[in-house]
Amino acid sequence: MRRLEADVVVIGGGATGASVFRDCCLRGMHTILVERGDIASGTTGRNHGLLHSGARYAVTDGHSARECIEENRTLKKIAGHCVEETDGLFISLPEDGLDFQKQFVDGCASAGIETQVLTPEEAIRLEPSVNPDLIGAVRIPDGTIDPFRLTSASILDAREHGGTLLNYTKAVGLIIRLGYVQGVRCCDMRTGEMFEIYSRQVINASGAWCHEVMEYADLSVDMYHSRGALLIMGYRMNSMVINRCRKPGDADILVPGDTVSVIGTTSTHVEKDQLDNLEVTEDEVRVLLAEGSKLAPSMMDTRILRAYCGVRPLVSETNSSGGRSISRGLVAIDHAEKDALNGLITITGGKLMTCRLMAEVATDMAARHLGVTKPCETAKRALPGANLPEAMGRKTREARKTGYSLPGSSIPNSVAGSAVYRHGDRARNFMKEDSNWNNAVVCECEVVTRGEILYAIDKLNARTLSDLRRRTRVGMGPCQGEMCACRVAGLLASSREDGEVVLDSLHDFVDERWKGVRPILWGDALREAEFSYWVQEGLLGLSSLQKDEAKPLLEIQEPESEETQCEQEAKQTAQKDTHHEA
Amino acid sequence: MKHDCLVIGGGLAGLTAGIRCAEAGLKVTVLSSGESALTFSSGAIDVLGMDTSGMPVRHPFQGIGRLIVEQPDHPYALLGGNSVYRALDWFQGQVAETGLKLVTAKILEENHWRLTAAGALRPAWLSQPTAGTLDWDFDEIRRVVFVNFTGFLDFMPELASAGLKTNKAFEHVCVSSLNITLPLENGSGATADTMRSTQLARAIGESDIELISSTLLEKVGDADLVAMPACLNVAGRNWLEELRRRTGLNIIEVATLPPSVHGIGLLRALRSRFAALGGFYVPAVPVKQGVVSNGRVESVQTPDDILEANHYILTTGSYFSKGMTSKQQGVSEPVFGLDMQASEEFCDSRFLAREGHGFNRTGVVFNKHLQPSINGQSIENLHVAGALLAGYDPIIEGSGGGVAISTAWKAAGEVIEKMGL
Repeated sequence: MRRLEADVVVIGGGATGASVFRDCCLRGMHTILVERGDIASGTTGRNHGLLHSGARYAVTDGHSARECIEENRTLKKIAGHCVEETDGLFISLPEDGLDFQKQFVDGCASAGIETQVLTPEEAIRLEPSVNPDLIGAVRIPDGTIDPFRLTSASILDAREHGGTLLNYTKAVGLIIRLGYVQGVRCCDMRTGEMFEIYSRQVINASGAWCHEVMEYADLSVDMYHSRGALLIMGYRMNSMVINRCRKPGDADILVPGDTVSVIGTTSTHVEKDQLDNLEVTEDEVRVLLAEGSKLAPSMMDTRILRAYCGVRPLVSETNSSGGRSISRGLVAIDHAEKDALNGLITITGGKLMTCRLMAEVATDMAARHLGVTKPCETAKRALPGANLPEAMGRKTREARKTGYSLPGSSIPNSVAGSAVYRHGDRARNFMKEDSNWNNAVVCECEVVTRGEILYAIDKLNARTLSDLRRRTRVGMGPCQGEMCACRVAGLLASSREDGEVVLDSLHDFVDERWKGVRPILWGDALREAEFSYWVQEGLLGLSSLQKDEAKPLLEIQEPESEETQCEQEAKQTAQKDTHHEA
Repeated sequence: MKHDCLVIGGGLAGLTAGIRCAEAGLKVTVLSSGESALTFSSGAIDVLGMDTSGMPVRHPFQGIGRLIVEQPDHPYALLGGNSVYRALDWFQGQVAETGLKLVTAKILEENHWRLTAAGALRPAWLSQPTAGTLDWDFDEIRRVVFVNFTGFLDFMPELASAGLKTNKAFEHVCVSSLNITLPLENGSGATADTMRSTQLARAIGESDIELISSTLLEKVGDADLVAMPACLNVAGRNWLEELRRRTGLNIIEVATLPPSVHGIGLLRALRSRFAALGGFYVPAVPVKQGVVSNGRVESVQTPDDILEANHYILTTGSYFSKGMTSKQQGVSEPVFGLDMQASEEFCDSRFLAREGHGFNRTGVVFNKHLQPSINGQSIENLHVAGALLAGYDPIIEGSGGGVAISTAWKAAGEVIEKMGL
């Protein structure tokens, strides 16, 4: 059996795991991150993409509010290319009254969140899509953050500081000897190969799935899995985040992001054996539309692009009654202290906004055990790509209009600007004048070039079409990968040997897009789906190229071999890429 | 002006109906609101490609006989295999009048294979001559090469190679890909990576053809089949035939991602045939609403006009063409509010499911004369044809072209008969 060694193994490649990975590497610890799927494919990829100001928790959870505003400021500093400083509104509608607004402004003040109370007219002038019936509004420093980009940039930084990313690698057990966790047993989900990583600390950052890792050590945690459904609207309807100024409820946040807007969420309990089988229901769609259109009435006439849901890894405190009342605070467990099990740390709870802070807390614990004294630098040090010179553009609300550019380049801003928008100054790594066809636009909706795709394959560990989507936004726009999926499959096929793997990944991509469209299959979404179907099945005949399907021209002969359980699991994972994030 | 027949919808079905009416001497107008689905198609016509168990159909007209026993509500059941054959034969002849000689398989009444840009094989009945027809048995093929022009994104030779290799019949066939960098003589300095197929077709000139043929002879001289993106036969310059002549190779054109040079070519041929027969084609005019009273259509409204005719043929297509509209509550036909038949299961959990999707089988209900109904009452002077019809799946069955042509042919026949011609 293959055997690797590291100071630290991080389990989980979401925003938190990626941040831990980065923090450990920056402090000089030799670190390996294992992720059973691709990075940002769990909760990280299935939320609003909201850069909270903390205002949402100002009245109900002052501690979370303070954490949020602090991290809000930090992320604007270190992850400029992942963030848009849009600001946000908390609007009061006639049915809400203005009583809550008073408490809200006070709460913000005590949490250190700056507010500006606006008249309805001022609010409409700032944000014309807002419900004109509003009776009051408060401006707060909300923004948007691209969680895929944040995760990818953290991982890139870690790798550039000596870290090793093993995506599509599942932690299937812990190596425990004499009360000490000495490493992780792993399975390569592509090949079924089992191997071991020996380490001095294991950091369990698997979020909503962290109980599974704890069970490997016969430990348990009282998780409350709260599922939240969201809809992506086909256009960027609003330029500022719009919230309801009342106690948190369903569908009360509308977030603009890249080319779209996202309305969410709901909050319902989900059993832990259902975490990988989440589908948005008709009722959820109805609630999201009905409540969401109270924030921005034009939503009723706007095309819905897709529906998705994620699951919050909340940790129950005793006698807590449900999802919205549980704290969004982070939970860090040093199992050496709590359970007398050395070498294992669990970091969970929390939220996207606090992923860097969560990482700092967990890494501090690990550093103490390993005798590493180098302090945390993640709050000060910019992520790769974030050192955006003034000339390339800044992601403020005002600057958005003028856009981004690659100074000194003859490539049109519509193309170069998109690359800078997504990759910051790292766009220079693939956007060059002597392009060798690399500046050709592969995905028109999101303006992704051939060069950006090849860069993501080469430098960002993208192995499948869905990985490429998470790295570049290819196929995320209004057409949902109608033609660009096939073009990108062509590029992937030309850059790696195994064409059959590429075909499988094309099918996974198509099914994953479909999963988000099915709950909202009417109107323009149906028109688009029909067109995709004409192209992908009518024109190209893709269904006959599927594995495990009866192929009319092919008699399948299954090789007779005994599969390990892990191999079977690897196959199942490959078959149903159940992820359907934004 | 009062029309004998007003055809609403200018795609494959609409133009087919228009041509048959015009050929019979009727005063006929075709109203078209936008692009036809032909623009996004392969440009080949399929009649029946897959049977109900998902097996490819070698003899489509015999296959129709079996299909309509199993599915008596299928549009083909109104015609039967023989009439569908007559309609397709007539259609082929009409298109040939314009100089476009669509071809069938070498063996009578057999489908041929159409190779796709992903390397799949789909059965087809009529193909454009430069696309060629692949025989049902591939015995003689030992080496296949997919050739692309460097930078062109809408043809995927490496993917196609991988796709074709998944086919057991090609297990022992050598499949490879080749990219040729072209100067693009007529491209005004633009490069292939910025072009769609229609632009690439216009950009290719003599020096490009010279380079392609010399490269082919040098690198793939022994190939049994060379597949290239369909952009080599446009606007009277049949470069593909030229390449075949110069190299002696068996070269075929394979449909690219949209737009489709072949589909547009077929659409042009149909429009030109319709015009030559005295038909009147009006582009970019959507019909908003029809006025119906006492089981008859009185008139239809366009944004600027009210139009009247003795007979109407509705060929507005499905969702994409807005022949059907859907809301969260269900699907409807927007011009007349015709009775619809919705499939119980609207969609499958897998996009590329073998069973297809219910939304494709959803459509307008019709009687044996292809007359639709409103609240159960048939509309006497209205006929429907093509993708609007309920009860069939154009993609999974591989029947889209055949149903459009044959039902349009029949709808026109009904009108002609009523006009006493």
